[in-house]
Amino acid sequence: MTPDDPNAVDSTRPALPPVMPPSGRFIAQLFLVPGMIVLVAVLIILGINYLFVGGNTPQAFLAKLDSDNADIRWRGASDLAQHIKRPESKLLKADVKFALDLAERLRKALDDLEHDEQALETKIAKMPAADQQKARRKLAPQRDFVEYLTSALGDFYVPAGLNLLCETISREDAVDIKHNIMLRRRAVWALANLGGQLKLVSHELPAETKARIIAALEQEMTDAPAPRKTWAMNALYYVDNVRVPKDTPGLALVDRALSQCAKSQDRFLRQQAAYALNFWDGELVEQTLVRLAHDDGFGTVIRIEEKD
Amino acid sequence: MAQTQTADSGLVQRGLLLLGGMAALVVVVLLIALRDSNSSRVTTPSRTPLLVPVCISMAPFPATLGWSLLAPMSEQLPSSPGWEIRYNAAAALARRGSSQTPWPVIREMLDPQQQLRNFVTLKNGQIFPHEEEAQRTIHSTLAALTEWHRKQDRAAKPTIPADLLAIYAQVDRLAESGNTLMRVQADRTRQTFFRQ
Repeated sequence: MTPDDPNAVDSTRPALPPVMPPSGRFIAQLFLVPGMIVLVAVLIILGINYLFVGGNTPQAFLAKLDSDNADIRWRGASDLAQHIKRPESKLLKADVKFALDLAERLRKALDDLEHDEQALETKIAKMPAADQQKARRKLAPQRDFVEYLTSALGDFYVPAGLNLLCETISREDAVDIKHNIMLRRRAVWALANLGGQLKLVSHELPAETKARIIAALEQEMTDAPAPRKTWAMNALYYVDNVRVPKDTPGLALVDRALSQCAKSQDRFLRQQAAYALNFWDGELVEQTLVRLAHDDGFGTVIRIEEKD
Repeated sequence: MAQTQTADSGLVQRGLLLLGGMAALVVVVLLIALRDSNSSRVTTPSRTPLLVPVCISMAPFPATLGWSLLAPMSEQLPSSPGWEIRYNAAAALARRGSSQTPWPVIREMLDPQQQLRNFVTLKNGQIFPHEEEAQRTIHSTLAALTEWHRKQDRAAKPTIPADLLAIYAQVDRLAESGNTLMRVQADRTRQTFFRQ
C-alpha cells in the first residue's frame, strides 16, 4: 500500500457511521407535520370566510352580483351557479325573496342593455360594418350578465322570473339579432328547467316547504311594489293555481309564450320550445305540440360562434 | 467491501426497474397524446356513398341518372329537415298520453338505421354516425311510449290504431336486439302494450 493509493483504507481514521434506512415514523412525520400546518391554515381561512365574508347566503350572493368589480361579480355568479344546483341547496332554491331580487336585477340588466344597445347603434350608424361589429362587442359583458341571470332564474323552485322569461322568448325584434336569439334560447331552456322544478314542488318537496313558498309569495303580493307584486302573483299562479284566477290582468302564461316562440324562424328555438313544453300545462300546449310534430323545418338555424 | 458491492447491485436493479417503469409510462402517455382523435371512430360502420353512382354516369340522359339506385338511396338519407323538432314534439305528446301522438314519427324514432343516418357528422369527406345519440333517442322514445300506455284508461279498452300496431312489432324486434340496455327498455315497454 502506497500513500498515493486512492483505494487504500486508512485503518487509523474512524469509519463512517452505518447507513440506516429511514423509519416508518420518520417518513410519516415528513408528511404529517406539513399536512397539519396546511390543515390549520385552511381552517383559519375557512373560518374567516365564514365569519366575515358571509358564506353562501342570498345577501352575500346579491352583494357580489351588485359589485362594480367584474371579477367579484363573476366570482359571485360562478359561486351561485354551483351552489344552487347542489341537492342540499333546497332552502336557497325555495327562497322567494332571493328569486324576486334576482328577477329585479334581470329587469334592470335587460333595460340597461336595451338602452345601451340603442345608444350604440345611433353612434355607430355611419361606421363601416367591421367597425360596427367591433363596437358591438363592447357590450358583451352586459349581454353575458343578462344571459347569466336568465339562466339562473330557471334554477329556483319559485318561478319568480316567469314574466321576464316569457317576455324574452317572445321578443322577435332586437338590435343585435344573434344575441337576441341566444338570449331567447337561454330563456326557453330556463323555462324548461323551471317547469321541471315546479313538478318537484308538486310531487317531491315537503308540504311545509310548499306552504312556506306560498305564504312568502302572498306576502310579496300584498307588500311589494309593482312589478315585483305581479311577478309574485304569476309565480303563485303556477305554484298553486287555485289562489290566482286565470283571467287576472298581467298574468304571463307560459303555454302562450312557448306557442309564440314555436313559430320562430330559428329551428333550434322551435326544437327547444318542443322540449320545454314537456314540463308545462295549458290550453295551447297540445295544439302547439301537434303543430311542431308536423314541422317541415322551415327557417334556418342561426349559428352563434365564439367571436359573436 | 463485498457488502457495499451487494448493496450497489441492488441499487442498480432497482434503478433499472424504475427506469423500465418510467419508460412504460412514457410510452403510454405518448400513445395517448399521439393517437389520432378519429381512431375511436374507425370501427364505426361506414356507409356506401350511393349518391355518387346516382349522379355520375357516362351514359346520356335519361340514363345519366342511376335510376335503379334511387330507391336504395332514399333508404340511406337522413330524415327531412326539422326532424329534431318533430321528434321532441312527438315524444312530448306521447309522454302526455295524447290521442294526437303522431305514430309515424314515433315509428321513425324507433328505427335504429334511420337514427344512425340522422345522428352523423361529416368530417374529411366521410360520414361518421353517432351510435350513442341514436340509441339514446330510441331509448327515450321507448320510455315515452311506456308513459303513453300508462296514461291510457285500460278499463275503457282503447282501440289501437294500425300505426301503433306496427310500432308494437318494431318494439318486439328491439326487444331481441344485441344491445342489453335497449333490450331491457323494449321489454319493459312492451309489457305496457294493449295485447290480449
